[in-house]
Amino acid sequence: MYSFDWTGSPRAWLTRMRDARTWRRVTPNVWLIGVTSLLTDISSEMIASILPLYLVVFLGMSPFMFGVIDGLYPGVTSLVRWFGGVAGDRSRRHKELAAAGYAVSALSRIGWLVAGANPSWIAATVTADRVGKGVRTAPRDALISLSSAPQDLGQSFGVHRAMDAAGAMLGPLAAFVLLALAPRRFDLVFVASFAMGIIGLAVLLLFVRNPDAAAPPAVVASTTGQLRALLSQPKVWTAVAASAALAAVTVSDAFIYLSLQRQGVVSAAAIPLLYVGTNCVYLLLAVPFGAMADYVPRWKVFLGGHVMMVAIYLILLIPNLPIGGVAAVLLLLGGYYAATDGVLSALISGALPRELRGSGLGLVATAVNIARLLASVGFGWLWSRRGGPAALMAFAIAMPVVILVCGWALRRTEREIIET
Amino acid sequence: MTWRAWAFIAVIVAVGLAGAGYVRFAPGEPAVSNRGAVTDAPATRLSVAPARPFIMVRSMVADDSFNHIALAPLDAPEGPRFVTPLSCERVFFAAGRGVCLTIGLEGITTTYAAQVFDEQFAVSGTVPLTGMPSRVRISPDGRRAGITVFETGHSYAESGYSTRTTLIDTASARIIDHLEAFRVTRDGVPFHAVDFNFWGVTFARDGNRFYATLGSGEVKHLVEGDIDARTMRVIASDVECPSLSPDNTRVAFKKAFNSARGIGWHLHVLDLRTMVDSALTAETRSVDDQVEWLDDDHVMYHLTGTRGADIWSLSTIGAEPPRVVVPLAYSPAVVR
Repeated sequence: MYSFDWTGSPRAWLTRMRDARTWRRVTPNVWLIGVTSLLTDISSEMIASILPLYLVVFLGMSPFMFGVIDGLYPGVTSLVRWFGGVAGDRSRRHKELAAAGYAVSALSRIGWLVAGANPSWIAATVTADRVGKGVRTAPRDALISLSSAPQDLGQSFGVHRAMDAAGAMLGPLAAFVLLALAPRRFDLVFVASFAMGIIGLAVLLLFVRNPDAAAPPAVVASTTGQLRALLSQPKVWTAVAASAALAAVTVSDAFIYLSLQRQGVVSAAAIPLLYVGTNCVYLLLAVPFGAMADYVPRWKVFLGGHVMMVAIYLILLIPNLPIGGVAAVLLLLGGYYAATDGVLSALISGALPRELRGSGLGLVATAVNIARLLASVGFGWLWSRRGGPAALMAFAIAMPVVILVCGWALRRTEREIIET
Repeated sequence: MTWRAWAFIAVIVAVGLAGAGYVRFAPGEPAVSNRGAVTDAPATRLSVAPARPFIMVRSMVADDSFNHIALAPLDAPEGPRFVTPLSCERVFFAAGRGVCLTIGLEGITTTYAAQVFDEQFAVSGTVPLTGMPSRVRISPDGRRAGITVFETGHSYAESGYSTRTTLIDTASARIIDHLEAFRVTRDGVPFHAVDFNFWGVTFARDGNRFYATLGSGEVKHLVEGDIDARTMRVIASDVECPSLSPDNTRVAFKKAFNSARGIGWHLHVLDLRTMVDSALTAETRSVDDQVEWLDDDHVMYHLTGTRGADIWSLSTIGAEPPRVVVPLAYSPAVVR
């Protein structure tokens, strides 16, 4: 499917994966952050999975309201990611900032209980959840990176992302069981979701340590100063630019599933199953791919993930796609997430001094988020003007070019590091 | 054990107790909504179906009538009702034919269907649906039904949902077509985009002409359509969920607002003869429903609290405040 110039043999990597000592190198702090993310993802996915039913059938609303909410705050939740990271570095209080984000999201669950059918309150509830998610992302990743040895970053982020994906799979299941036991008691789902969120927050506050709590605050005083400090590192700005450029030619899940549906191979009712399938693959591959990123240069794993995305485009372009094509798309999409999401955080963390981890991770999260928005707008525009296959074709041509340019740039920064 | 472990156990216990307390003390089934202006549902029931005219509703009363279709006499709609054996999420009825939209569980997947029924509430046919039931209307001559469902994960918008609107022949309980397959024109020229969504059909007296919403991008258009010709044309914008008045001269609809006071929808009426749009300012709350005309001068719609819904009525010509017309009910249809 794709090839790395291995610095070691695949067998050595497999041996490493089977070795218990490899697993022991993932610190308790990382496992505990993973538990917080798992519980929080159960909490948020419980609600996300029942929300359409609650709004449309229970309240009799049109869920187009989410379009209105998205229109209200464009880019706000993107920028919040960057500020969360910067604030974490400045105060050295990554743990407290992450906790604030988790707390806001957990408390937003109560919003559903009191909002009823009031659109303004529903908008406030959804926005609070999103802001909480935005604030916590960079400080949480900074905590993971500060709790791991530089050579184990890939595996640590892999473990964290696998636990996150597990929560995303358990959440809808929990909501389904609750509603089967107590039909129409959506309020019980909100209460259970709140409880999960609070327990997740308690794990973070009580058991997760802030590794750099005793260190002096960062010397850089201004936000722009921090940005300058970040961009003075070639490895960092190259990685940020590369990840944004790649995100700008990445088709979102929604479009991929829509393409499968337009092909006629899956029905609309099967779409939730596609999400489950993708998540399942992500869950299984996050640790192996993360560990691989500690073994071969991380940028190669990261680009390898994007090669899988190119393969998805090409499969979607096959006319009269057989059902096996759907399985291949799910495998590749899960693999894409496993090889890119946590690996990018490991790549950025590995290139940064400790006091710039939060702002670096926040910067890349914001850049990728904005690039994704642009990609969705661009792909949607192409789709409506020229049709699905033409839009896919354009992205299938653009992505390999971007991969090659990014590969060249990332390899260069690697050489510079070696030379200096 | 360390104090942290004890604190964690304390958190678990507190959360468990709070959850148990909620389950114990929260009202179990949908009860009175949180607005205070609601009267209780009638304690007694009618033993025989009332004579026309009556209002058909889905009952939201927290007893064994919950979700069942109920009939309330038009001259005393807040009084005792007749409860039918059919249960639905949404219902409509006209000229001897009704359509009931249902949700069922089959294994771990949810199934959606439209049941066509007659005046004796006997189901004559079932049409499977592809998404969550949202709106249903039947033409005044009873021949056709228009059903809107919401499909998840189908829209090309990142966080969006999309609709599918299906026309059904009520005599055979077969699908005539989907609005997505109709030709659309705007200002006389063909109009098409991949993000088209159609919802909220309302039929004219002849059972062939209809109005509906066409959403594309941020704009919601009002379209006038012809079923036999499979065509639609855009006649106005900023119109959602149209409902044609009994005399076929006006369309009541909801219009989105987004101001410092919040977001939501307000009710408006568009006069089709003059194309003059007037806001129904006596209702200040957000209404998200396809309204039903109570008579030529009043519209009805539901308002939901956290635990139930009531049907309210509002004058389209006067300024008197809205009032509850059928308490603890949903999805009204006037059967004349």
